Amino acid sequence: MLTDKSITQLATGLRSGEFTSIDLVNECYDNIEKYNSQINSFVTIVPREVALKQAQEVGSKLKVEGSSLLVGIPYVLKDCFNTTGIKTTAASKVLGNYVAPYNATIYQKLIEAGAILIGKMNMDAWGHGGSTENTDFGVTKNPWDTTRVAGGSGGGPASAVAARMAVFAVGEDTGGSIRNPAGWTNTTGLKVTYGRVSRYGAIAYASSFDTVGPVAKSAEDCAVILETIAGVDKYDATSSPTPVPKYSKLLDKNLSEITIGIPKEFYGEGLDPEIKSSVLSVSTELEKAGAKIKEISMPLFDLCLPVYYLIAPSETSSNLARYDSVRYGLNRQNFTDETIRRILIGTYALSAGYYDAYYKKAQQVRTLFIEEYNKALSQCDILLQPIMPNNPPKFGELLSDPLQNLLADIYTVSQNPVGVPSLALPCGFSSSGLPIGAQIVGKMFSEELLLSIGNEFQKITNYHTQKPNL
Amino acid sequence: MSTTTITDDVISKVAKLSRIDIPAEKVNQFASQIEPILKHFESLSKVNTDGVVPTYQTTGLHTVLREDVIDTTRMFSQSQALSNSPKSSNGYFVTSATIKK
Repeated sequence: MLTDKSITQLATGLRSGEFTSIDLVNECYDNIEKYNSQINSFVTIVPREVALKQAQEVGSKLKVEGSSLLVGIPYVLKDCFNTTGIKTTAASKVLGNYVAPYNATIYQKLIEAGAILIGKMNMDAWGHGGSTENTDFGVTKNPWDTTRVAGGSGGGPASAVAARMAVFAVGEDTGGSIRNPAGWTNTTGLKVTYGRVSRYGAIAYASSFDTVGPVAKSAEDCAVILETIAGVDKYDATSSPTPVPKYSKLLDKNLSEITIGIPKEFYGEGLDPEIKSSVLSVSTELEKAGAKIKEISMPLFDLCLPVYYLIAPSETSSNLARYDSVRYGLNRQNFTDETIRRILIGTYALSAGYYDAYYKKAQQVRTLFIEEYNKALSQCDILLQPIMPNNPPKFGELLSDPLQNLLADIYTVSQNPVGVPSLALPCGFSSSGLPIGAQIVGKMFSEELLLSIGNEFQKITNYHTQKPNL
Repeated sequence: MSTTTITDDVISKVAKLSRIDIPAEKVNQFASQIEPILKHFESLSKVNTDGVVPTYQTTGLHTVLREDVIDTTRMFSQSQALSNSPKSSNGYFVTSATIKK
């Protein structure tokens, strides 16, 4: 299948005439017809003829010297990015018919690069969840086992890439929304440094945690996508002026220069033993290739959940206050129970009499977390951490207990309050054949390092090339 | 923070602040779901944060300014601005009355 190939291989094939963008677009739509009814990845499918028309017109762009590797490549967006002419719902019926009058910066950049948008993807509404069950558009099922969740909040984008219904996706990660579904669907996803990619036109969940990043089949593909979408944006004052390296040209790394930190608190009680051994096998493989391993300690680890789950709901209660159904959208009675819980918790934490004990306290502990990560990353180059403590659950298992639902996010919520980047990589399979992922975390703006280590790992392993049997 | 109890009254008050109407029969359900979550967060109170400056953002950027000029590429026409409105009239958004006569 063409969609098994890397973006670089596809770009080469398109230019040599081995196949055309039309072939590639048709293959994605054929897979959508075959698989989407089983897993429900899409909120909106762009009509095939619209995508094919774009595919017919890429010929001249392909001939331009130095043109983007993404010319003629079909992709999907999590349904939280504004796209003119195509509705943007955030998977909430509040925005069920919303068609944005402007484009998100990342969408505009992908249009200019020549990539072809074929769909807007399912998610937990507003990013509120880790299983794509909190959606008003039907749950997304895991392509590896359709009785189980695909993860979330970006279950739609990740499952679509896993099932080869698109070559790549762009998602958003506020507390694991790219990494969690990447780990559970055997895809590779990057939570970028806060500010690395513009958030303009992305529907806000928690503004000081929200990051926009790639979801793909490999670290190499993530590098190509990231160098296209990253960079300062005059429309997002929090986007960073830090220069954007040509990540795809910097993918080779001499691993003997690398020290991998194993924060022991991340491997304690509650972590499934099979997942633990698969995640630690990443360090074994990298050690064989020359890397050094060092056990370190991050004693504040347990506190990341309260920090995250006080600040994120506080910010979301503020962000979602704008939905008044005057200028757009339906009224507030259309929020789901999970979203209402988060709004209530946030409003409570911000209200008079509780602000200091909850919101301010969490922001102070956030400062301590930043110091903890700084200290940890002064002793090593990257931190190796699990993504999820368990295999993807069956439907309803997480939703039935709201506290347990939050606890499952323990490994993915400590990075966003700090701002550091994290690359989620496939690293094995459970005895029942379900994918397992690991994350490597680095210093602020160390995407180049993470992607190159991920690429070296994927040169010596083949987990990332495995795909589900649908 | 050590004696977190979330009563139905707390939920009703916070719901009112949030402009969400919660049906009476669901108020207690939200209270019983949210109380254990907030109790779990009590662990924060054990951390000594004396003199710790809160962090509200991680960009390291301060006072990001732009030129005070009109960006015509980002302007909406009246019809674009109204295009998603549930109710508009004569080029205006229509809202519910907020003042009682």
